[in-house]
Amino acid sequence: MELIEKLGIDWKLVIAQIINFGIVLFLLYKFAFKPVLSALDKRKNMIEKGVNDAKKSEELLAEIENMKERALNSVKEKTAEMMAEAAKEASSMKQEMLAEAHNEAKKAIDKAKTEMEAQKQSMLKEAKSDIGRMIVAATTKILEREFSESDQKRLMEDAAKEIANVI
Amino acid sequence: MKTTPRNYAKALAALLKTQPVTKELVQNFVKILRKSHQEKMLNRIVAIAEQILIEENGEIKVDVISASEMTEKNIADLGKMIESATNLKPLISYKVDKGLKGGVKLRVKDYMIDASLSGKIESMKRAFTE
Repeated sequence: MELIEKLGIDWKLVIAQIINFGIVLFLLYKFAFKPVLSALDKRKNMIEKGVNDAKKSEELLAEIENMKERALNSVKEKTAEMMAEAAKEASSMKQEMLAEAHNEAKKAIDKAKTEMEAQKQSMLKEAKSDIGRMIVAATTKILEREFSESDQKRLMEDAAKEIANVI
Repeated sequence: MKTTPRNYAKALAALLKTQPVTKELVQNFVKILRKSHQEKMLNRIVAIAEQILIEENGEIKVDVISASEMTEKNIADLGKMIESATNLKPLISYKVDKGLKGGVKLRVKDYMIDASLSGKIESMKRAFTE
């Protein structure tokens, strides 16, 4: 104690300062340090959360990218399949349409041929009939003009012979 | 079995050869036909019976349709032709149909023999138009 006094240190003052310091320390701890620590913690947590969130976001993003890639691949595959299917169907439809068109054309040609043939036959028949009428008319005139007694006799003979066949 | 008109005609011809035609005979014959519902066939039966009687006499009835009037000579010539072809003496009756244009048509029994110019022309028309 004496030594302290010799050094000029007032132990009461020291105690008082210690108490003051303790009070200040307490107050600082209570009202400044603790909130700051709490704020720092919060901040730290926020940053950690932010980092985690960022990581999660990155992971999510990666996953989304992955999913997108997969979806794109799937879409590409589906599209390719659909395109192939559509091409196949189009080819089949083309073949069907070609076959149908071919059939229709054949039918039309056959019908036209039949009609032409019928028309030809009709014209031929008409021509034959006209020529026949003319020949018959001319022959009738000649026969009527040239019919003689000998023709009459020959026809009677023919008729008489015919009787033998029917009785 | 139903008796045919030809059989009735044969019976009638056989009857007519043995007895003359009397009213009673005709009435009885019509009665028989009526019983078998064949009275409508009377004319045909009589015609067949007449034909049978004619044939039994070595004759044949010929109806001639000519395009023009036939002279006695024409008819005689035709008769000779028929007799030569059939060995039967023809009993010819004839009429004129100018529509025939030439030649003749002969009806013998149920047959019609067309040896006319119009018939030949018709045949020719058919051949050209069919």
